[in-house]
Amino acid sequence: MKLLALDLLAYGPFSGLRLDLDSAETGFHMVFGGNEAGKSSALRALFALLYGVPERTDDTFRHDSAKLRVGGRLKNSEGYELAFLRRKGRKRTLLDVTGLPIDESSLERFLAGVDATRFQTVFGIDHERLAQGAKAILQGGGDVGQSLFAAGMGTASPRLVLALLDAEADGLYRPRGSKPRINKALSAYKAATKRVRDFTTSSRTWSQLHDHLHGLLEQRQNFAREQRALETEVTRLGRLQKVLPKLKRRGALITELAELEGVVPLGADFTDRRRAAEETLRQTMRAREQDESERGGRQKRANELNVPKELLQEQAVVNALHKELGGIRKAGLDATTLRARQTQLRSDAHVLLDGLRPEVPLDEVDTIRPKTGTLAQVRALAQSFQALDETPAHARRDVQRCASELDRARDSLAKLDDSREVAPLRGVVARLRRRGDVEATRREASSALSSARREAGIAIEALGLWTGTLDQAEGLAVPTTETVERFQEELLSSKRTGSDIEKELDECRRSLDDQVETIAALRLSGVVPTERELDNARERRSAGWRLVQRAWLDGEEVEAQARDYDPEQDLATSYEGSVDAADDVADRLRREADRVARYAEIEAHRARLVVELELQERAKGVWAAEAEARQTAWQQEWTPLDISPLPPREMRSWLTRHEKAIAKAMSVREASRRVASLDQDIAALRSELSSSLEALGEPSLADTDTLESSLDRAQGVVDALEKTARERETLGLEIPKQERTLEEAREVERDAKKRLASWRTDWADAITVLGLAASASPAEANAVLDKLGELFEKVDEERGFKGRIKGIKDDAQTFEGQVITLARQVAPDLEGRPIEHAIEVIHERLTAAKENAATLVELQQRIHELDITLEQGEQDRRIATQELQALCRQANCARHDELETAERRWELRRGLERRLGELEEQLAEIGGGATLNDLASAAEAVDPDTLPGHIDELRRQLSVLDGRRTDLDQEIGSERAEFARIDGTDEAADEATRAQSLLAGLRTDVDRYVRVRLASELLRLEIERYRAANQGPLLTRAGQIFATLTLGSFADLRADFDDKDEPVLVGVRSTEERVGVQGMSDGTVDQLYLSIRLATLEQYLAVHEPIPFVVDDILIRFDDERSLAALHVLAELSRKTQVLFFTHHARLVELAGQLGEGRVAVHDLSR
Amino acid sequence: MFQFIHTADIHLDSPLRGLERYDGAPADAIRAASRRALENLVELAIDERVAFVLVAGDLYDGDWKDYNTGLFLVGQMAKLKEAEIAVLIISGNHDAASQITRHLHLPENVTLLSSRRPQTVLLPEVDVAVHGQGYATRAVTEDLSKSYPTAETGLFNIGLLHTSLTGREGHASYAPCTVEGLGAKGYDYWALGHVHQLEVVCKDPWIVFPGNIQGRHARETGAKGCTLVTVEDGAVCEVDHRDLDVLRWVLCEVDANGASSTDEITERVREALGAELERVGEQTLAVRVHIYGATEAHGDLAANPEHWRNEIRATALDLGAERIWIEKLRLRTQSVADLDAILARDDALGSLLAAIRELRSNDDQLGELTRLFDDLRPKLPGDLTSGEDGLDLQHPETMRQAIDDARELLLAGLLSEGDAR
Repeated sequence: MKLLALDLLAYGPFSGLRLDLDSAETGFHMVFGGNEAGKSSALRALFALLYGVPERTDDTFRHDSAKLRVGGRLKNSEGYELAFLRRKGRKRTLLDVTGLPIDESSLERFLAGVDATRFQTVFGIDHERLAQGAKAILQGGGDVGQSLFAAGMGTASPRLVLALLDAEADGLYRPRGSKPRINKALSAYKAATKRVRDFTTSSRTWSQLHDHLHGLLEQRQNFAREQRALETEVTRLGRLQKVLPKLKRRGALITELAELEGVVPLGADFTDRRRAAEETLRQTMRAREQDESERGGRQKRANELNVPKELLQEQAVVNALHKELGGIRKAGLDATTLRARQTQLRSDAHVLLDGLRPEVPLDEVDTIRPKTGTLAQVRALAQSFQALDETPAHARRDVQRCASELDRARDSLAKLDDSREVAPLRGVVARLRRRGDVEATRREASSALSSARREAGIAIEALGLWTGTLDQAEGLAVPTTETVERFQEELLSSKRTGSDIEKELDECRRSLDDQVETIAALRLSGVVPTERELDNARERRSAGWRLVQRAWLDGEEVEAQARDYDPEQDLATSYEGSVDAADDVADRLRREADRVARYAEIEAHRARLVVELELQERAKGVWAAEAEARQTAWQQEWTPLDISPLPPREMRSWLTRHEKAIAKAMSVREASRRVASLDQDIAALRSELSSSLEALGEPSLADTDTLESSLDRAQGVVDALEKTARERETLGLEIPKQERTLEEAREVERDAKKRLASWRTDWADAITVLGLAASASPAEANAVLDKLGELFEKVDEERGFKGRIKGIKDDAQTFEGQVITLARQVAPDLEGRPIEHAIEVIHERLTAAKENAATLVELQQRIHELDITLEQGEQDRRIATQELQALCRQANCARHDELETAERRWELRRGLERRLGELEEQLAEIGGGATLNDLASAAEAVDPDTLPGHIDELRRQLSVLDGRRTDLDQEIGSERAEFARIDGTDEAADEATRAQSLLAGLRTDVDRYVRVRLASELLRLEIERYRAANQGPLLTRAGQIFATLTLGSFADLRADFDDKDEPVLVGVRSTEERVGVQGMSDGTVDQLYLSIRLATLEQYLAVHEPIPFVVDDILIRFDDERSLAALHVLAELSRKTQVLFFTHHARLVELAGQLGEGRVAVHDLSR
Repeated sequence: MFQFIHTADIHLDSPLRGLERYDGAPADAIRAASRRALENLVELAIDERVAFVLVAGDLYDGDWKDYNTGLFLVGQMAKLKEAEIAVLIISGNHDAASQITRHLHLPENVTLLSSRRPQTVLLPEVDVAVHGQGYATRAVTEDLSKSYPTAETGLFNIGLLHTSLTGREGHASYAPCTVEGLGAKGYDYWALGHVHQLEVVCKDPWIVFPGNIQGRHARETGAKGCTLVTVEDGAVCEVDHRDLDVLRWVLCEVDANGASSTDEITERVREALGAELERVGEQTLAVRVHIYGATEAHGDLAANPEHWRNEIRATALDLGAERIWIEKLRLRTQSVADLDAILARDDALGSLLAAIRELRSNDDQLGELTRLFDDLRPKLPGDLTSGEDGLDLQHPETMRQAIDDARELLLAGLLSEGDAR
């Protein structure tokens, strides 16, 4: 396949750029585009053309996604051509040149099975891929297999795939590793199974544990029994050991008690009673002595006390006067101060009066005290004075201001004089505004007209099949859609009929063949008997029989007939034969009835089919004639238009396009009409505006003025005139209003003057009373009023002080009288003493008399109490004496000082008895229930000297036993714990579940490992196989290319072996020196990879439909000379397949020029 | 009227298989699953006040030795004793091998029927006769039912038998017998065990496999439980299956046909899992996800199955709030790229595919390849390599399957390398 043209209709930066790649001279095309010229877009467009536009693309920056279009023309080696378009989309993106979708399969025959990936990898190479390929060769150390395999697929390297696989496999498992997952999982699983075993308790373990524990428990029971017996014996002997000394003490006690037999028993409280009685006796005697001495002392003091009765009777009067004394003293002091204040006030009043009315004496001052009404009147008049005094001046100022404003308004009115009529111009302007921007509308209409013309032109061009002008297109007498549809239907139905007939025919022929085959098959398995055969056999049998009858019954000579009947045999034999034959046929008919029936049926069917076939053939003939006639009629339908029609379906779309073209033509006419009408309007409007302006004396419109700017000027004129009219109207209203205001101000002034005069009359009347002249000002009047007020205040206060001094003096005289009277009565010795001293002394005497009276009462009370106590003590002494006498009787004593001895003896006896009782109680206790006698006899049976030794021995035995039992208990405890651990726990089961989880993970990993490992192995095997198969021819050819590309620096490429005996690539110099890839420069390795790629490509081209080789700027690392060499190689390749070389570099274009005339076609994208 | 429970194949403490742990997997759900299922059984028996419980063999798991398992069983049986429920057990092939039973003393409400000859146990309170014989050895190949006595007249007769009947897929053939043979005994109900799938074999007389009470691996899918039988006037009037399992195994098949991205596939898996969750209500699931069909995402899936396994697990986690355990992700997708078309290419890739195709059908070459794993094979635990799902690295079929996957892996790697542009 070869690309004849690439149409970059709307793709990336391109619009309608065609690359014509159909060159008879060369297949090597260099497509040059500087930066931004769209080289990469062109490359992508090429790919999109063949394999569709990718869903995500960067090439929509200029044309919308939906409008992306790339077109092209292909030609394959068989000479077929295909012109088509590609749009962006998900399906049906392949279009024919008219834009109708076509099937992808039309394209596939040109691509010869090369899919998108392969086209990019095998038939495309760019610098990046070249560098990757070179790098992979280097990294693989020039491994022949990998290098060839990679070049064979066009991918960078199977090495990377291998490396990934090997890395994954290593991460999963290594034979001697411990970290990879499988290795880890294996040990984890092992550990888990061990844990399961550890947690598992077998039933034997359980039963062993069970039995052992029971044995130990039994052993412990035996120990317990033994221990109990020993303990009993130790207890018994220990008891006897304790009892022996007690028994001895008991004997001694009994002897002592016998000596105290005759002692009188005394009550338990005897001693207490005796002691209490003796104590009482002693105490009462001592108390009587003390009380009597105290009573004597007190009586003596009472007799000595002095209590004056008269004074005590007058104590209320004494107290009252003593209390009043303080008040009298204080009032005396106050009176002095008051007198000083009074003198001061009187002197102040005198001064004030002298200032006001010196002629009036102070004692007559009340004659000039003013009345309250007069004072108020004077104050009120003084207050209103200021307001009345100022008003006339204010009113005068208002009158002056109003007069001046009125003058100003009259001046302004006189100055406004413009009174031109504005209404006509205003009307014209408003009308024009309502029409809007007529000039803009005109511009739009004009642009619509151009675009309508353009579209109409395109529509006519797109019509196809016919050429002419727009008007001619309108005049075309095209067939109607209905006509075309009728033809479409007829032709389609005719086609269907044709194919139906064809199908029927095929069906008939096939059925007929089937029938013939079936019959042949039936016959193969033996001749099928028929009814006709039976009839024939029977006929022959009957003929034979008739001959036999004639010969046998009638005795006729039938020899000749018999020979006719059967020339070979005599009549009898042949007749018999015919009977057998008829029977045989009849038998077979019956036996093979199925086959017979089937054969007959098939025969009949076949006959029917033959007839049917003939009928269909005839129908086909008729149909063919009809179809021909219809086709002609269709052609004729278009003859008048000089069009050779396509099929009706396509002509329908032609008709639609035609209809669209007509519609476009009408649009053009409409648009043009509108432009003319707008032009007229504009002229009329200008003229009207111009004349209106002239009427007002304004300049008329110049030709250069636009309608819009003129309209603005007219609007200015209208606005100015309207403003003047508005101002005149305002002033006309203002002047009368100001005249009224002036008159009102004058009235106010007159009124103010009148009110001031009236005030002056009232004022003169009021102040005369105060002794002031009528001309006195309100301020002066106010000052006199204040002084008068102050004078009368002082006068009034001085009179108050005078009254209070007189009262104090009266009180002091009354007090003195009362004290003298009292002294005469209770203390005549004080007569003639000063009053204050007398009352003080009397008061002191009263206080002493009150204290003596109280002391006397206390003394008399105590003497009475002592008398009662003495009486009580006497009684207690008597009772105690009686008690002592009773106790002597009880203890059988003559005197009470013998009582103590009797008590001591009784106490001794009682102590002995108690100790005996205690001892016997202890014995009973220790004896554990045995009687005293039993104990005594048991004690007699033991030897007190050996007893302790015996007990120690038994105790030692017990301690040994105890130690053994503790050990046993410990053992039982641990066994029990062990046993308790087996409690139905699910630990082992849980661990087993865990182990299964690990196993599941292991399974996943092993499965994966196997696959990864296999994949790597399979790829390795295949690389090796590919190398073995392709190494020879490929390397030879690649070596030649390599020699050319390296300008002879290398002469050849060969496979050599490295240290590990792996085949590797080496370059061979003309000197036979071998250079490994590691020894080559980057550029040289690039050239090495390119050599292998090109050799592989040539190998492909040798046996396949050629596919263009698309090269994208691969010569970046090539110097000029090697670049030229590479261009030579590519030019060479272009003899086998088209080479499309895309580049950014102008230098390469220059170099390409050196290849020679006609060896390369250069296409510049920027032109 | 009375009710009884028919159960079998409890395989107490047999571990669940194939559940690889991962973060977020409902690990608690699988702990002691068989024990909890048994607890559910006991609870059901007590709640329904059944007259007795029949266990038709395989109470234990054959080579399981832990005596704790037996003690747990004793505890559960004691609960039934307290509720005055009798338990009749025959030993199955697994029990015959179990060592747990030797020293175990079961409570007196439990009767373990003889394994030497058929034994009949009469339950006079409900007029029932139960006939049965356990397995004395692991493999019983004769028809035990033959020597069972004929039905006792006037009683409701039950046959208790551990058998594979005429053979059931996936189950060893033990104590073979026929439906006709069993029918001839004149019993009212045959309580069978051994087959792990619920099956009502016949309704006259009733012959029933209740299935096991808890699925143990991915092949034992669906609800598991016991059969609750109601008897009225000496005849079965209702046979009801009750779920007991605590974890349910599910196979979730996801059709990836036409999916254009892995996201779309993940979404389909999410939908499918969601549907399963909705279907089972509160139950915890162990799901094997099987993705099949031709999809453009095939390369992505094939290149890194581990990543997608994690992705599916995350999806499940997101969806099921720890109610789903992804047991396995089985990728059986195909490339939309036409394998035959690549095969037809006479370049390196086409030749690679051709070589793989050739290798697949050549057992000798396959055998050669298995030697790659000579080192690994002996290290793998027996549990992994034996059994029905065992991994036999020397089997040609295993290799073929692995080679198919390896081929996809290579195609994904090499073709994406080609798309690197």
